[in-house]
Amino acid sequence: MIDLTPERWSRVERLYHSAAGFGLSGRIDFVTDECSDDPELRDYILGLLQGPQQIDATIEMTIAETLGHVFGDADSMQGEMIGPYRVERLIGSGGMGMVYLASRADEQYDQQVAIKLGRHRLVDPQTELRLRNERQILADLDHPCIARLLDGGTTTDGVPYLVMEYIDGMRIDTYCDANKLGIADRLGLFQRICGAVDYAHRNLVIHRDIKPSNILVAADGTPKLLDFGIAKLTDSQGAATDGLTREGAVILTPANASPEQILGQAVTTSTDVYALGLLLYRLLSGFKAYETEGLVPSEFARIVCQEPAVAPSLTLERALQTERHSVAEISANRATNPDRLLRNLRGDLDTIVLNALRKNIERRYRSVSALADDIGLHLRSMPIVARADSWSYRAAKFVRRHYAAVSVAVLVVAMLATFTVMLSIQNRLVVRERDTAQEVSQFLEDIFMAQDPAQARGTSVTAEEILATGAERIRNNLSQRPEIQAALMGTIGRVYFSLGDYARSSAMLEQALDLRLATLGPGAPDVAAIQNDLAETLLRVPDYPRADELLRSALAVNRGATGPFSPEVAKNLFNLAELHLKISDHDQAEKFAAESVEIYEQHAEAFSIELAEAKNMLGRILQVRGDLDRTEALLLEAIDIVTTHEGPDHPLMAYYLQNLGVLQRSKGDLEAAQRTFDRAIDATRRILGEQHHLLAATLVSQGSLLHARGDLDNAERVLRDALQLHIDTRGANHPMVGYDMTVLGMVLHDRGELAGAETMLRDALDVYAVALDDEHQYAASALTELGAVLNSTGDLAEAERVLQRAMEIRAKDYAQDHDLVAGTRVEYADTLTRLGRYEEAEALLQTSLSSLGNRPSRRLDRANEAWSRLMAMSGRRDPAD
Amino acid sequence: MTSPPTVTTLLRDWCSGNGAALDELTPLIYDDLRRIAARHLRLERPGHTLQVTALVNEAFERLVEADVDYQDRSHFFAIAARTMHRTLTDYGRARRAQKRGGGIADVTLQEDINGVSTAPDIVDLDDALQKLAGIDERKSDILVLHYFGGMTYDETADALKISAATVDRDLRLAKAWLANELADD
Repeated sequence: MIDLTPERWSRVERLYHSAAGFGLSGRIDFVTDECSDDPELRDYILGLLQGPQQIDATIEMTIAETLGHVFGDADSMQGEMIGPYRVERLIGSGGMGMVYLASRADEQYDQQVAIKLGRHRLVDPQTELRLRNERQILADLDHPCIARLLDGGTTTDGVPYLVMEYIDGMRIDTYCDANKLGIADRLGLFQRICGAVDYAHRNLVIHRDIKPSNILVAADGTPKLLDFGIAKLTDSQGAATDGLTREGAVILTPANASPEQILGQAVTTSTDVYALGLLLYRLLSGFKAYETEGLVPSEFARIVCQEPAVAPSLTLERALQTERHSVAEISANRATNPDRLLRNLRGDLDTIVLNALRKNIERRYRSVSALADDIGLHLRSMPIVARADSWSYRAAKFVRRHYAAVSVAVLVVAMLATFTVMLSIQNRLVVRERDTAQEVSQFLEDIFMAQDPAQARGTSVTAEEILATGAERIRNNLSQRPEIQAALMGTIGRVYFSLGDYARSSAMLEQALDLRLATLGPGAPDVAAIQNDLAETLLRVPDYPRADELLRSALAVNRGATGPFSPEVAKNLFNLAELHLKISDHDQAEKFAAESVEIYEQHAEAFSIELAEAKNMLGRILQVRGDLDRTEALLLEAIDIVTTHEGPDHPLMAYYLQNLGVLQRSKGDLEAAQRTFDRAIDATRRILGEQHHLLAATLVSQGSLLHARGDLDNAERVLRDALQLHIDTRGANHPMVGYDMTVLGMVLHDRGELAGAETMLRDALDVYAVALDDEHQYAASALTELGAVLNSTGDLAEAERVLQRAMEIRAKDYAQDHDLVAGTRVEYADTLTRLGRYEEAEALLQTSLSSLGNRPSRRLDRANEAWSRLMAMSGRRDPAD
Repeated sequence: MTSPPTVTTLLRDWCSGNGAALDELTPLIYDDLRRIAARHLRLERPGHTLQVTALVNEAFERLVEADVDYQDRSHFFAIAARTMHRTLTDYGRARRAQKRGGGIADVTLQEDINGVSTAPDIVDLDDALQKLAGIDERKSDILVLHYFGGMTYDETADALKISAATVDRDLRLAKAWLANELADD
């Protein structure tokens, strides 16, 4: 920058004013001429002459802004009286005016209150009316989550004020972050706010300015809704009744404005739904739904009114690319990591938020309670109402709720897990039937149309509600048309099956079967169809003898009516195979399954999923029979069929891959198993979502495999993920949580982290104590490992006690020469060695080693280690050396 | 509340050469400016800009009797303008210091109103004024009276005992200088 010496400055003065007398081009020549000796000065003066002329406006703005800060601050009212209250300090500013902390000056008790002071003297009667309304409304609102109105009046200046309960709390978003609340806790808090808003709505009050700064969380964790500053009376339709709407749109905070407020349209309870959507967006993702920073109002208005909000998870995902650090912080504030947060938000929560933020009021949640209900459903892993009812979504939810028992039992006992999903077949049937029977579909339509909107919870009714109404109508209204009645009962029975409600399903199908038998007689294909469906339900109830009887009858009818190689026959055979697998008649099961595969092969195009399922079924049977090579081939074929016909995102893929991995591991092909588990994890995430318990099951399989391969770092990481996910999806006291902890305990033991291992294993036992009976084999596994850890720490008395208990439990269910028995005995023998009881130890170890054989395993490794210790401590040489 | 005659008297005293009167006058004027500003800010719609000129005028009308002569009026405005300049600048510097300390509480009162401002802040402005004072003190002073007191050329001329034509000339160059200075930042 130029150095303006006094000499130069006086030249500047002279030349600046002289130059101003010239025209634009004349100035340049003049100054250039005058400053031929000092080009720097020339440029400087020319700069002054061309400089921006709006300097006045700029400076005035700067001054006015500072003025606002200096005198708008707390000081300006501090100590002054508003009515009988003395102002302590400014605590905020709402749409209608400033809010001060004050206390009553003329009373003995020391009560702090918040006083909201209007911005205007009461010159305009509208405001007076509004404030009087507000006082009345607020005085009537009595809810633990709404700040109470205590008093009101007019200052000596004629400015109206309201005195409200002072909430010493933290802004909700700050509170959530400061306490590192996880997503579930945030949702819980949000639900309470919804409860307060819903209460207000039922009292005909719309808040109209819900935003984080209007919600404080008190020290006891109660959220309090403040500032019904622009709340207004509503009529019973929920629409605005007076003419203040437009002004309301101007007053409120632009960043929180809904499209209808910006457009000056009627403000309804739906406006609060929208604002709650914005709030939820922020609480969940840490980002605003719309970035308003630096936007001119018209641009902002266009975005709010026209551009759909970006899903919270997507906003985070994008931010992950550009501001990784802040996403990491946001996740940490939610007690999670970015990956998990993303997974958590994807799906339901995205849908819920976006549904609340719809531009069109008609498409938003119809009420705050509908929004709160969906969050409740999400928290219970039930299907939410908001989403368009897509196939894969319902399948994922259905599978999530109903495959719990299956997966635990199968996975853990021998790591020979196998899963089947019948859902696809069922759904296809429902569709097929509805499409073919015109009358039936007309009736179904009537059921849909006849739903009373006033009874509906949200923008749509749930499948269950439709079914319940439908079933009732079918039973009552269709007795004159038994064939349609039977068809519809069949359909509803199958839908109940899909929803996992086997009791209702079997009741409905039994009625349908009775009707069919009465009208058509026993030999009709329609009877056989119902018999088959009923049998499928009974397999799950379960009632095996009746299912067997029904299936054999259906098979006989179908063989006669449709020929021996029809899909109907194949389906009966498939169900018979499943039934015989369940009752452990493996010879019969294999025969039925093989026959079913053979028939479906002939209909491979139209029945690809059924063919894949049949192959998977045959594989499961062969796996139990020990024919692992053929099982693997069948599973690979099933995977191939699904991929070819349905693409890689079919839910069955997640199950098949998990099954394949388990199989490969039991074949001893650890490398292939690890690759398969990687694929399975990837597919499960993609297809069933991040919060599916099957993902946890696959993760624990992978973790256990990594452990077996000696990759302790990754094993621990994966197992901890599995543990967390099991806790999230199943609850902290689920047996699988104990299972994960047991495997983790083994890994920690092998890492030499004895204290950590002991804690983990004792935690596992605590879980089992709640979740299972005392004598469960899972507990024996945890006790065995705990005994091993105690051997290492030298707490031999406790080790002996623990291992004896483990052996008792093992002896209950397993033969003397079982691997699991041997595994427990090895640890006990090690205790004996360390106690110096060498002879007992040697006897135990020898029998254990002979049952373990030569197959490499951790148990065998530990047995060999125990043997070496025995030899070393007893002073004998290992005869094997 | 201060009774108007006192201010008028003090103002006359100061104009007739009693330097001590200024020390009494300044806090009185400041206090009134503060009250007026606070009330305006409280009672205006958010986003409305409070003009310093209006403030000083209102304070003058409240504090000084109507029959005060023109010169006293100019001096009142000059005191008000300099008081305002100092107050706002002190605040701005304190705020900056706090910000550097990282501890300023986030009391965002008006959330997200009206987008962004590209104006320099009050401290940038004062830095420039001080720099100008180093080169040409009178021009700096004229800018203070102009912007912080909203004073006319005649009032300024009166208060500084120079001609209105000089005020006009000085102000034009001073503004050009200021614009150039702030743009260079």
